[in-house]
Amino acid sequence: MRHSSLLIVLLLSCNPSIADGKTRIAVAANFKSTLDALIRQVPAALPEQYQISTGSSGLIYAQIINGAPFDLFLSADTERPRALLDHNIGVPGSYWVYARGRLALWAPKRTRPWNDLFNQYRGKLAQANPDFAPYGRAATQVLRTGLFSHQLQPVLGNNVAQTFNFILTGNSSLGFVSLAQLLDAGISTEKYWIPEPMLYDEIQQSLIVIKDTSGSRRLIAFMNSKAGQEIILEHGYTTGQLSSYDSN
Amino acid sequence: MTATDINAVLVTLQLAGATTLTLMIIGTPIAWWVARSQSWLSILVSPLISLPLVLPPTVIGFYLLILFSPDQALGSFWLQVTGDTLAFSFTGLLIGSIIYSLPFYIQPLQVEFTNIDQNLIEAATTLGAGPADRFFSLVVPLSTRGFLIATTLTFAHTVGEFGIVLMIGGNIPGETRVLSIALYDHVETLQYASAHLLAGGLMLFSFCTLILIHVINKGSLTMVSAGARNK
Repeated sequence: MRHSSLLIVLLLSCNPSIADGKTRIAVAANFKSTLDALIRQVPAALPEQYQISTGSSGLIYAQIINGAPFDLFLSADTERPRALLDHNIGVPGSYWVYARGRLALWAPKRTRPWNDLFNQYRGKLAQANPDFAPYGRAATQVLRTGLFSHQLQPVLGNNVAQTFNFILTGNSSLGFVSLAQLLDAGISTEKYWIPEPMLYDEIQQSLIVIKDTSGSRRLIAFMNSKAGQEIILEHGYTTGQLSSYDSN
Repeated sequence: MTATDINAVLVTLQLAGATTLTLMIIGTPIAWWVARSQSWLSILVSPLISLPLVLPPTVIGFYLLILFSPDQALGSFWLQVTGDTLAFSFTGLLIGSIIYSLPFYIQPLQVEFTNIDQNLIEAATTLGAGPADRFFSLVVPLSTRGFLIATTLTFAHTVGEFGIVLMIGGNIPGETRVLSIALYDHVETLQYASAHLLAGGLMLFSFCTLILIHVINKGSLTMVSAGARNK
């Protein structure tokens, strides 16, 4: 009996979040690398203080609503954080559109001019699932403008990260991904085409604080600062209004 | 149930049926060879067949995604012959399912084949039965239970496939959008009512399958114990 209670105490003390106030962040897969770059430079906080889990926004949402212990949720959309607030989960004033994603059409083996490609290409086109992935919805909107002359067969990635892999592995020769991914992977600019942002609804990525921690506050304050905004821009996103979340 | 969900049910049944049929054709001789062979090669092949039991489906999915790429030999050969890519096609899923369900077909049969009395086979040979005759008139009837369990397990296991399909399927309705993917989509789009319907249906199906397997096993056990009593 004494041994088992000792064991429980030991196990509890091994849990880092109890021991030293870590901030657990759930982030949509597409923003992961940008978040990594951000937390490396948050003033007065060590990167080790942040514990990052990635997934698709919908899956993270389902996990949080069922009690997953995250402190901060960076979604790829606006619906999931709002739906959490509707369920009385999260800190109401913390909702913030922290980045706006940009769509890009990637054709790694492109040799002909873009216009010829749009007029002549037949076959499969990779994109994220338009039913739930924001980049997928944007891709479908751009396709509906009649960008391609022929009807293409969409191949759906579960999220934009998987879509990127379909093309990267050569299984799909063409597809819509995020500009952020292309910049991250150092893809040459002549291999991708960026549609006018007016062609699709803004891809607003929003966050909410689930549980208030000093780590979340420091991170959001940094994302609000000039340095933080620059990192977000460099990674292929545009920024908008600053967060009104009290960072004191 | 929506039309797309019914469509997913049909694709799933087709995939599970095609996988089971293909494995009956190519898996049966492999099971026989592994069960009867004295060759050192079978020491390597047997664990190789069992690999999908312990590997995460993502490993198989990842390798298949690479193999299917038109930049690779297999993928480019397929593209030249059929004009289509292996990834995001029913055939691609079928290949994945065969690999994924291989141990579920081979192992029950292998056990059954190993237990067949060598004397019976030798007796049949002495009576002039050729290899095909020996197999179909002697081995198959003696291994009915093994065949039943192998095909049931393979079918059910393919119905439950998710990880590989997610990685190589591309979610194309009527071609690669199977039940588990449709369920995942419902969860992602917060359609929990539809998700419950599919999840509950799969649960019920799997449970019934396991009852069936249990009955098949038990049936043969009672036969064995009855036989023992008669002695």
